[in-house]
Amino acid sequence: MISRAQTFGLLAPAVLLLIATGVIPLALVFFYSTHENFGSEFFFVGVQWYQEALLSPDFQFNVLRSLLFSGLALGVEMPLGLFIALRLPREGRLTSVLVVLMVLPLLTPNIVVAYLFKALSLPLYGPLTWMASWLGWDFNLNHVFSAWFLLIVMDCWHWTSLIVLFAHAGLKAIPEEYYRAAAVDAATPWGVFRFVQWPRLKLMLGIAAILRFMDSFMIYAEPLVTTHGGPKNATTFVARAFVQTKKTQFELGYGSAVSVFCFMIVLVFAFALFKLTTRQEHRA
Amino acid sequence: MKTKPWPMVPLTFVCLLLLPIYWLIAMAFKTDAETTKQLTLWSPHPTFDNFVAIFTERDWWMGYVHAGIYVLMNVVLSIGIAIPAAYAFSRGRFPFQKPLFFSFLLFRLIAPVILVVPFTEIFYDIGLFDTHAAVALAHCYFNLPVAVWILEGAISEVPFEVDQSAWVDGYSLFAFFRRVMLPTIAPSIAVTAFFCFMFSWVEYVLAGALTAVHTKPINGIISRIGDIAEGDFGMLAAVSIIGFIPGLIFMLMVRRHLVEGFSLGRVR
Amino acid sequence: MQNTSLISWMAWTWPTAVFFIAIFLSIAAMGFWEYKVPGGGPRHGVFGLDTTRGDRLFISILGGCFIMLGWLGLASDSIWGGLLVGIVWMFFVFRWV
Repeated sequence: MISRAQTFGLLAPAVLLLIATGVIPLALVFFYSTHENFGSEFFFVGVQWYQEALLSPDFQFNVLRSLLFSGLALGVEMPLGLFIALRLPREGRLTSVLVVLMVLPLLTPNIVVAYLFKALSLPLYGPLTWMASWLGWDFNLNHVFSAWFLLIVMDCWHWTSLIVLFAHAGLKAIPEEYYRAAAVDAATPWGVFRFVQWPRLKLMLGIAAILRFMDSFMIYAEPLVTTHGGPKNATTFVARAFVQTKKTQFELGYGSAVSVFCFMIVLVFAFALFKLTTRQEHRA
Repeated sequence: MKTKPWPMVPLTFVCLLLLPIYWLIAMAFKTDAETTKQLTLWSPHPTFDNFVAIFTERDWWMGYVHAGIYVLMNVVLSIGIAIPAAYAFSRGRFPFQKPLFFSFLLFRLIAPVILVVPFTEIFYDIGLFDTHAAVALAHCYFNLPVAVWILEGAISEVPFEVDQSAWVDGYSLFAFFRRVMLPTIAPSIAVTAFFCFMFSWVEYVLAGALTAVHTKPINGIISRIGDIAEGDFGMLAAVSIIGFIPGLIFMLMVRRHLVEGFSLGRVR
Repeated sequence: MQNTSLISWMAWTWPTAVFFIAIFLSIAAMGFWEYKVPGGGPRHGVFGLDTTRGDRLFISILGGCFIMLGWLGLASDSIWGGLLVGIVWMFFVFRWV
């Protein structure tokens, strides 16, 4: 289609930029994870940090908590988002307005969301606390359940729109003929969903799920600001480990090993995303 | 003539989404005592103090300026470099094409927290610590993939015949881009710019870590006052609300093509 | 803050350099293999995935890393055991996935 030389020239800047701002920092993380440092001297220590991390109960529980959190968040956001998107008309002025409004939470920086929900859940006078007590629930961030509840609600408020918009984009792309054909065949609503809508939705929801899983697994600011890691460490997640230890120069290795571990998980999901979004046949 | 019923579910959802935003707006006009010691839907004595503070103290409003600078730098850089790359992915065939595309996707999925330490070290060592360029560059690692991803889809939607007829007509590659391709995918470029803007504006880990006295952006300031004065909700609210404005304006400008961005450039 | 001697070249210690070189070599080797004997196109494997050679390389290396980490976490101090299981895994992936 276009010449090799041209392709090279077109791609080179992007590849170089990605190497400079992506590969090199990543390589540095790898480097730290296998070395110990005193001041600015580095010594190779092999897998020592990995062992320390993998065998530490703190780390193991953090990972489990992160998995649980991501699972819960997705378990709520995905069906909810899909449900809302299915009920959203595909065209129309109202839909355009709603779409714009739905983007607002997505435009909110993580810390702003964190402080907002902190304000909403203030003891006694935060609106959420007040509503909860009205329902007879002593909502208190010193209780594990309340802490987790708040975090999940926060994540849902912040990100459900993403799912809705991805699903909506998928549904919008389905040509009208498919629906007419289904009507001709006297398809049931479930039939319409399964054969007309789902195939296209599967792709969009897959992408959304992967993006959301990774972001929620690495959640950092929200628990830090609202629950400070939870009652005791009920809401301490994986990301806490590698930033906490950066403050102390001498534990750079530990945090980096945890980072590399998280990166390996990212690789798995990136591979899934890749398989999902590229078609195997070669485009001619 | 059948009138469609209101879509109650999406409407309810959007109303629920807007409630915390309403609260944010209300808090900006309250004093802290009102926020923490009472529950009122709207302040009985609304105050503009928080907003005044933002516009009069240099550190505050400069926070927005700094953020705007590095975000703009990043968007221009990301899109400028992504367009040729997206074209190459769409129209070209070359070895390692798939693994390369995979790498792009990969970097989008890496959370900034993972790279915070190396970035700080690197920029400090090359003397770019506390500059706008540092944050702009750092943000490229996830924005470039986003841009390439969306733009590749958009370019693929344009039939190759268009390119071919342009070449038959004697356009050079550069002129082809300028006169034919870019105008055709202009809406997609706008949407891509919005997404890159959004991801960069919202990011605060790297923006906070790579900046200090000279270039502290608004997100960095928020996390700092949050640390120091846990209760200054009025300020935090006011700062956040103003922070919405650029994004809101940008979004309204591209709203017609917003959904297209979510389908990653591909309309079909 | 670390001083400049850090980044002047991270004192590229041998082990890290070797690791990265090995990864690049295997990718290059894959490219070369593809050039010499093209094909290895999408093949349906044991995991129900369609994989190309590049995919299999990726799965085998990543899986190998997880296995080695798992070995470290669950079994013993020595990485050689993990390495061995990892190599077995790589053969398995290339043959059957």
